[in-house]
Amino acid sequence: MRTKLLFFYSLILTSCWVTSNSPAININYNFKNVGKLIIDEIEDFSKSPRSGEMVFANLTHNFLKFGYDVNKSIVFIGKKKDELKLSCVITEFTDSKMVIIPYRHEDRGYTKTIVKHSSIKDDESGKFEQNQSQTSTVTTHSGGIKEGNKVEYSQCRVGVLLKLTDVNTGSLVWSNSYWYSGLEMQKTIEFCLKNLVYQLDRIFK
Amino acid sequence: MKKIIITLLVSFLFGINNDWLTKATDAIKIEKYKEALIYIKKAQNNNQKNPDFFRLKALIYEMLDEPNQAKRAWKKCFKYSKDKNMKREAKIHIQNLSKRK
Repeated sequence: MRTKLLFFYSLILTSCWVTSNSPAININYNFKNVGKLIIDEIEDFSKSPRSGEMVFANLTHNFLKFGYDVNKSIVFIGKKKDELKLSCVITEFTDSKMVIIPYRHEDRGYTKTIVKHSSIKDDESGKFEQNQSQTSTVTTHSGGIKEGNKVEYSQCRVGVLLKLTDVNTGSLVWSNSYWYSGLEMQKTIEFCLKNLVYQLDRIFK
Repeated sequence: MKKIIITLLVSFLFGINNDWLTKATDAIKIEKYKEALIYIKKAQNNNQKNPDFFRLKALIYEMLDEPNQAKRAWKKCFKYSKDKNMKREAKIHIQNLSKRK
């Protein structure tokens, strides 16, 4: 019984974990009828010139990687007639943010025990007495944590908000936001968009 | 005399470990991620419960396209971190690395 309860509890936790970043979808829209995806112009993030261009290039690159035909800003999904407009808003574009690692040296401490044995020699018999005396000293060092010098490295963070709008009706059919961090800007954008294109790929197939 | 020798030895070893992390971050700055990983591994013994350390390690593995190792490091970062934002970051990376094609 206890094992079953634990199993269900972990199942619920796992499902919460998995669905926490799930997109918002219009359940009445049929994504199987989509023929084209038109990518809208992406505006630069404030104080980050050419960020829009970089995100756009990575977006088309990822669609191509997932096996779609891409022509300028049009992604060919299938042979159906419906068209969707893909809008992308850059919500975060941080380059070279310094992060400090506190370097730690853990001293786990120690316990030292010194045991001294002593025997008394009997003068008459010349033999050692059976009653030996024993002294022990216990020294305990509790240990501690020393923090050493700090080290620094640069980190990037990219966040985007994607929206899919039906070109004919103008209704919003899919939306999701996502962010990702990394050591290089180019790779971070790629990882970030790859995840979103992966999600789009799943709804079209 | 013994105490002095022990103190010197400990500070020498401590200095080496710290140097490894500094070397690692220097290597990252010039985008030599494989080299950075060598120093990171050397500094691991004294950072076994340091979430920042595992975060850096995971980010390097991601740069080197080693998703399984990166995922392992992110899981340790998640385990040892007490910071909400860092936990969330680790969670996002673990999810992304699990889905990666």
